[in-house]
Amino acid sequence: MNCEILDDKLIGLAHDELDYESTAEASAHLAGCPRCAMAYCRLRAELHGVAIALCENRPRPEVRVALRARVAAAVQPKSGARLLASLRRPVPVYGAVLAAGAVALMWLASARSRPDESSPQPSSHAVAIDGYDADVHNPVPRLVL
Amino acid sequence: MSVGEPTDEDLVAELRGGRVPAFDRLYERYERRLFAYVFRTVGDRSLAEDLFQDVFYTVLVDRSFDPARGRFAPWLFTVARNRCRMHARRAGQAPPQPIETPSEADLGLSSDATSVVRTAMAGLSHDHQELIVLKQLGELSYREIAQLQGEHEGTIKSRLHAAMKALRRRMAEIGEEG
Ligand SMILES: [Zn+2]
Repeated sequence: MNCEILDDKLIGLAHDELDYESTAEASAHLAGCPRCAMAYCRLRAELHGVAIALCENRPRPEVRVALRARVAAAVQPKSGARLLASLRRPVPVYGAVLAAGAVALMWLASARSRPDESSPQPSSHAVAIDGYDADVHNPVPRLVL
Repeated sequence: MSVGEPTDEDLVAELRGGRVPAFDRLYERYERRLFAYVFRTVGDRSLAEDLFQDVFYTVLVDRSFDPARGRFAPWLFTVARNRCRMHARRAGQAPPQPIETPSEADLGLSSDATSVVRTAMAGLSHDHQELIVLKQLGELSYREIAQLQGEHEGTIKSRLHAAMKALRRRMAEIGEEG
């Protein structure tokens, strides 16, 4: 790449818009040509100066405050809405499986603690209360017809 | 943007997840750049502030921009361009012509170099000014500018190079005159 060709590509190079091959060729030329290297540095400085000059104005600070409040209100739902959203959130599959498992475990536990009426077998607990008559200790008034 | 800094798109996603501090970072990145574009286009500070707020709010909150599918900056400037044009149509004006905006420079606060750039910009055509602003402030690629303006990438490249050359030539002339 000679100086004339590079001069035509300097803006594209500064804008990072050259393809890989052209960028490599341009960089190699710049490394060995002080005149073009100087021209490239000047261009970069001018482009930077243009950006700074164009950015001089900014909105008043009140604009930022008002805009931030509007955006925050839009992206952060109020606490009531957040609760509603969490209730409306679909229950994941594993949640349903866990809930069903918990119900099954509770049913199993209650079934085990219940005495089996079909085949009464003396348990150690039954032996301990053998001969106990509940009516003697807690007499319940009986309805006599 | 330095390595490790969240991208604009990351920040938009964070913000939409309810993390408002992401707004502050995006605002700092685009406050001057977007406002400069809008102000240059409509030429009235109060109107520019209204449009600036409207554009920023729309792009951040409206789900038509998907941070997983595209860059934030081109979308922001596309919406800004459309809003400015819509405003001009409603107001029954001709398409907006960028003007030389009053600035801190007018208060004597800016350097000579800044005033040279501003004067040189004022001497360029509307198309050239817009291209330079979209490239230097919006940091849009040639392809993104082409999409925004509905032109071919090659056309944008030629026009932008011509615009940059014209600007540099004018800046050199003003420098020599001064
Ligand atoms: Zn050379």
